[in-house]
Amino acid sequence: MKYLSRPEELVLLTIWKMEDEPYGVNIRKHITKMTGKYWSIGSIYVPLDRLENKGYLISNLANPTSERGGKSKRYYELTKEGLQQLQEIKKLYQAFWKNLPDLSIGKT
Amino acid sequence: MKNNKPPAVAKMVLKLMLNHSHPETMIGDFEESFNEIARNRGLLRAKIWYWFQIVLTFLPFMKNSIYWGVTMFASYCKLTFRAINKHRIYSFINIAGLAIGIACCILIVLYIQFEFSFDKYHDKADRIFLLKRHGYFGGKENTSSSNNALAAGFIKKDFPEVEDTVRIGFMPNPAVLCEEKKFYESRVLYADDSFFEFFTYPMTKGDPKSALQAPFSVVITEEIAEKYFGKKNPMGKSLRINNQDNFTVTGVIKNVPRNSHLLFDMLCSFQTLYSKYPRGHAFLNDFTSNRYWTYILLQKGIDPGTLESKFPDFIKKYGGTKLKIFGISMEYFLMPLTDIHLHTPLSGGKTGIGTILYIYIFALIAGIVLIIACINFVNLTTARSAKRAQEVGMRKVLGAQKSELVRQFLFESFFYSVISLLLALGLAEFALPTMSSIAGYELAIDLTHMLWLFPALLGIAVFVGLIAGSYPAFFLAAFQPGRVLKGGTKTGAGNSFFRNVLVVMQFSISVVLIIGTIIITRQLDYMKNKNPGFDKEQVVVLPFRDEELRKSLATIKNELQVHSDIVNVSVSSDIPGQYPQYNQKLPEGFSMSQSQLMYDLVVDEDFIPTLGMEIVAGRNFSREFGADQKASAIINETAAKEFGWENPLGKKIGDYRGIRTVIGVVRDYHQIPITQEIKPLYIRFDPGDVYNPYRMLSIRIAPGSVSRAMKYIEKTWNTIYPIHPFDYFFLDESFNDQFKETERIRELISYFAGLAIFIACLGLFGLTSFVAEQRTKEIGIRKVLGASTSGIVFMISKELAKMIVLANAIAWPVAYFVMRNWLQTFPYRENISVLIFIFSGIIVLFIGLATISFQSIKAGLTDPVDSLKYE
Repeated sequence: MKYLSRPEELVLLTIWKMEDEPYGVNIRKHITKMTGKYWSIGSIYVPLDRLENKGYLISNLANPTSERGGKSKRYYELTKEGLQQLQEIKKLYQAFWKNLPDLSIGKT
Repeated sequence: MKNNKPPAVAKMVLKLMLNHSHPETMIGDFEESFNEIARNRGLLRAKIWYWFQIVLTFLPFMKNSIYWGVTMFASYCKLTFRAINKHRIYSFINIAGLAIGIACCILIVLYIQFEFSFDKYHDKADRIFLLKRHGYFGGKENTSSSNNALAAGFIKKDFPEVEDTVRIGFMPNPAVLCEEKKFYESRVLYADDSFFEFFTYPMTKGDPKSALQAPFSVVITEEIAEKYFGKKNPMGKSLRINNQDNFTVTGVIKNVPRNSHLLFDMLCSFQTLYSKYPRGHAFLNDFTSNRYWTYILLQKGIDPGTLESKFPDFIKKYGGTKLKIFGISMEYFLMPLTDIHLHTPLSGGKTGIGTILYIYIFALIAGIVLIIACINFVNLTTARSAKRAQEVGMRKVLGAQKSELVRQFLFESFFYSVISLLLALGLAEFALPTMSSIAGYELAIDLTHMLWLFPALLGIAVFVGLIAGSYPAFFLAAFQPGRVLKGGTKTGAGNSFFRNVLVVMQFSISVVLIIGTIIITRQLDYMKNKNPGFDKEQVVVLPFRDEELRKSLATIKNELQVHSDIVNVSVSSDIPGQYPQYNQKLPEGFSMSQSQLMYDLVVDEDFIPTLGMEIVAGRNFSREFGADQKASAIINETAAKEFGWENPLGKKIGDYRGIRTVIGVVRDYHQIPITQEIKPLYIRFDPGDVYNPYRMLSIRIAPGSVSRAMKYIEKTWNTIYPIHPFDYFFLDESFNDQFKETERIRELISYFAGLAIFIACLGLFGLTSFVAEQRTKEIGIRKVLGASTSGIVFMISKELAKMIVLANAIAWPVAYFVMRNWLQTFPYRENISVLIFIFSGIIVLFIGLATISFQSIKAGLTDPVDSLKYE
């Protein structure tokens, strides 16, 4: 399994989770809210592009709106492979997090 | 709703940096965000925001590019390693060949750089000049660094362009004594007190301005201080020199660096000479004498030419009359300090080529070796890459971009050359001791002083790598997969001409170097074995270094002569192999203005018999003839010939010691080194000459009893001279010292010859394996048609033989021309024999054939079935 980088993983999850229009501006808003950190244009769009090139996301143009001066929005959604990647990652984490020894102080 | 837009510049920058697949939507999103912020928080805030975005995007952009750069780099590396492994022999040959070439270059550059660095460490180096003298004595031309003791003072007085002058004198190997420690020092100089104004030698103790003012003061190096005084402070202590004079230590300086033309351990004040010889001796007050070196420090901004133009009048003013009387014409010129080492041989008297010529030659050879190695590299790379046409075809089919392949091949060949570079550094480091011993200096790869070295080497590696890689990169990468896979491409057959040219060139250079080595060796052997005119075997020499020893001369001679193992004992001012005093004589029949220069040797009556010289006319000196010590002289055959004396006996010759009559003629022998023609020699039996006293005690030992005799000699010496250390050397060894320089050159050339051949064979080996594979089919067909194995071998060998013959044809004239010119600098030489050339040619042919033998025999033995199979 090819590992995803953290930002890539988070972007994928955000797209999966969000309920409003999944395009750049919104994705950025959501992920900023969820993580509490500031995400710049570059830090969103680079992973978006890479994920699409890797085949985990698929994008399509929506209809143009006047709001954006005639330019259309591009919606991203997860592909089957993208979903699969996330499931595998989740499985991996669960395997690691299962039955971890208790590290609280006081135990000999 | 106002539609604010971020500026076009910002949009463009983002587009560029992010390289998004869908830049328009990204820009659209960007504009939307900008708009929103402008609406909610104002235009200014929005502007700040978009700047912020650009900066924040820049960082991951960089991280990304680096990441990709590294990934590509890693993938190229992997592929390159695979390629290397697949053709291990070829890779090794290629890398090794280039590495050797670069290593040679590095070593030579180190050597040359050291030679050029002489004397540059002095602060005022660019203003310091040596006063050199060029003139005609009795019709013969003479250039020298030695001058009189007066010029310095007059020059300083008369010429405002001159800031200061300093004189240097040479003390011949004095015995230095301090409490219990006694040694002979060979590097002792006299120097004026202005010495430290000229030369930068940091003084750790003492005051540089005054250290050399008082007579009988001496400044010593730290090494000497430790040698004689251990850890104690030497200042104010005294050193006894030649058991005659006590010198007070007035300063200690750091050891003199090796790259100095003037190497010394002790500096005695020049004033000492005036105190020692209060009656003012001729060599201190005579304008025509020449024992001292004079350096001149020019004022800042003065051009030496302006001073030089004033010298003729100066010379006329101070020396005019006397010079005219002796028929001497003299002119001064100035040699820059930094030129001295390269342009003046220090050993007195030898005119002609300085070190600089040899440096040019070595540089040339190094350059040639490097070029051969580089061309080899390029050729082998292109030859091998032709084989990879299939690989290229496959990869293209699988979707490789042309640009990617181009980059791959370029990277590969660059990688090869970088590995060669690293290997070269290792090889150079490994060969440093050998190179140091050939050069005579300790050489080291010192990157702190050679900041240019690494970039220069890297530049070479890049350059060669790129050139080598560009053929496969551009030519191959352009192949169409279909054609290539079918095997229909003509893989670089058109380059065979270029390849053959390379082989021929490499071998002709090898032949030239081999011929050179052989001729130099023969010349050396000739000079060593040539009859020197006297018997140099079985003679041990004890140097005499001061007056005290001479007083007991008769005693030691008698004591030694009684021993049965000692055949004869004599003293002289110099021994054969050394340059005696060279001064003016007035032979009978010549006027004052035609005074002749002769080498002047002072001996005793036993000199000629002890050294085995032959008297061809008249007789040797003898104590029976009372006048001999005051009024007799012996000359050599050359002198008689040059003076036009058919019957020299009875003729008179006058000099600073008076007039003497020729009572004998000695057969010419090599007093001065064989590299020079025999010059007129004047020998006198003159124990009373204090200017040119006895300095060498020569003892002939009976054959077979050397160790016994040596024990006795040592015992006798220590009995008679308990204070002076026993020091000796053998005449045949010291006589052979004159060949050291030529031997060094021979060593260097022979190494280069070996290297050139090795590189040539490496290249040949690599090329042959390639060519043999190319012609597998052809050979298979030939075998089917009935050719035998030996026939195939013969065919392949014949082609190489033709190339080697051509190489010889080019090499022989070149070698002949160069070596003949070199040989002509030696007055005593053999003729160049044709056999040398033929021999070299045969050697090279043999080596070449041996190199390809493996390939050719393998090719000859292959079963045609195998070679024709893959059709």
